[in-house]
Amino acid sequence: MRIAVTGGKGGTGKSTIATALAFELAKTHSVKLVDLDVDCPNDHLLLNIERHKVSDVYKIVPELDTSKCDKCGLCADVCKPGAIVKVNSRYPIFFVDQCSSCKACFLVCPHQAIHERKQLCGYVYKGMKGNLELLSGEMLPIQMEGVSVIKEAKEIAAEGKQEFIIYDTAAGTHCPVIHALMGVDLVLAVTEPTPLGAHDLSLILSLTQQLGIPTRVVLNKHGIGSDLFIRDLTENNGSSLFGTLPYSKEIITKYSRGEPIDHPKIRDMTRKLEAML
Amino acid sequence: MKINILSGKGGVGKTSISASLASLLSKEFNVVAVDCDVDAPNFGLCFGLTADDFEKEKISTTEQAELIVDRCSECGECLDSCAFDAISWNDGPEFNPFLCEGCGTCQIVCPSDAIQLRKVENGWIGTTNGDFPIVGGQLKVGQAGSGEIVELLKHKAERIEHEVMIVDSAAGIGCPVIASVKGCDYVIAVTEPTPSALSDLKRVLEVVRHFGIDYGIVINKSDIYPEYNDQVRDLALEWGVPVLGEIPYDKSFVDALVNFSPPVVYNPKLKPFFVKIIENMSLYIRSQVM
Repeated sequence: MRIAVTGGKGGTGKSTIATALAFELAKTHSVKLVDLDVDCPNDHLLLNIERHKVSDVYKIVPELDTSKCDKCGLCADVCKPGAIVKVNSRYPIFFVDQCSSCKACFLVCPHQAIHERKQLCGYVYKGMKGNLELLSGEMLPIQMEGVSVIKEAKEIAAEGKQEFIIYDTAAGTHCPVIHALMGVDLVLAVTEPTPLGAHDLSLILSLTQQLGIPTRVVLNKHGIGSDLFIRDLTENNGSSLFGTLPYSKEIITKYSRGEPIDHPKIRDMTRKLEAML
Repeated sequence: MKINILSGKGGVGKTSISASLASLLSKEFNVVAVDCDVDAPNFGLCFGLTADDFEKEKISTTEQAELIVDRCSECGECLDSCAFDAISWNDGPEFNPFLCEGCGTCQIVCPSDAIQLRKVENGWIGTTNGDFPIVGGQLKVGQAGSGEIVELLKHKAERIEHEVMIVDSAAGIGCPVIASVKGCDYVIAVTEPTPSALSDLKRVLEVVRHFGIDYGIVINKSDIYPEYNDQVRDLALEWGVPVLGEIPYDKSFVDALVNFSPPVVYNPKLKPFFVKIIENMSLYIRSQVM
């Protein structure tokens, strides 16, 4: 069973919930936890896991063979991200940080003057805590190529057999989150009882509805703010509450020190997940 | 001058702090605020302003592939060309709108000229007025192009008369954050004393340094883990950047959100913390504004 933990807003407790569920489930099941917040992966810090690199992730970028280029400028015309600049009678200049690896320039060049070059854009790391296997994707800053790292981490996670794969996603609703959610069986949307939490939860519920993925809501920091924001919204969007986790100083302290949250409310949720297997 | 507030990690207090600083600065300067979190925009909510309060214009910064069915020879060239796995085969090509980036590669390889690119409306941008103008927008859920929308927001804010622009970034270090940092004069990097927040701070500062922008650090919830607070201070010293302020954990941050008010307005006791941040920045601000 593949479960994605997401939420829209940052800091609602996605990683706290994902690590706690994975750690608890791993006591009696085969579990992989996959950190797909490739901008800012934190699961290894929350679980105090020493990671080691298992994969370099590359993106394909263009490289010009000036001996074949006749400076026609077609490559710059087709480049939608604006990664190719062609000025007057000069050779085109490639800004590979902006390149999305679509390969349009390779195909449009009438003289085969553009070659593929591999550029490092991130890593996938692995680590263990007891029976729990963690895979952790991390993109290189400035490269703007999180999606390749997410795909690679998901591919590595799919190897072998396990009862649960838990994907921990980034904040937001944009491409890295969409790619993390693709192909999962269940989304757990983590939120907090504030207007900001509610607003961003409504966006993530709308996204998972469009993607057609069953989604349940986890209300974290229960007790601060007001639950009303969340309960109505959850029901109005055809979802339902999957679990709650109270706001407590003890949980924050554990979080700060890299210890998994061990709480009866977490066990309530893992029992529900076991029943879905 | 443009002041950017970012953090890498979400939920450390970027928006609460941005809203408080904007609110305080607006007493002395002409302020415009820009909410660059177009995925999950929350800045306006701190003032009780929702999407309905914005004067909106629809925007289109992306395109998507579309099949002209009667021209398609079902050769399958497009299927192999797509680098984003956005094309599947079901008696002909089908384009997944969530994966198509509108790169046009399939259009280039199609021998029958059967694929066209269509502009898609992928969001809105707009302005609303509280104590000062707020520019914000929303990427349509499931659409691509957040970086481009952030660029548009900043252009829009630029055209509003101001002395200080407060730019509230999204979480992370990806396209929307890069777009919001670019061209700013100063960055306030908000963090909290936890291993996660510190790790994310280091990553987002790589982006800030890449653009050569001066920055200072604000430690929010500074008392939740004292040993780590020392680590953040030591790092700032090592980097040669100022710790502009430290704000102890205060439940009124949450109460302020629930009451649609920036923390500094909701709880005046918090004012000294924010005044100190501004004072520590003020030499820098004044040298730019005056």
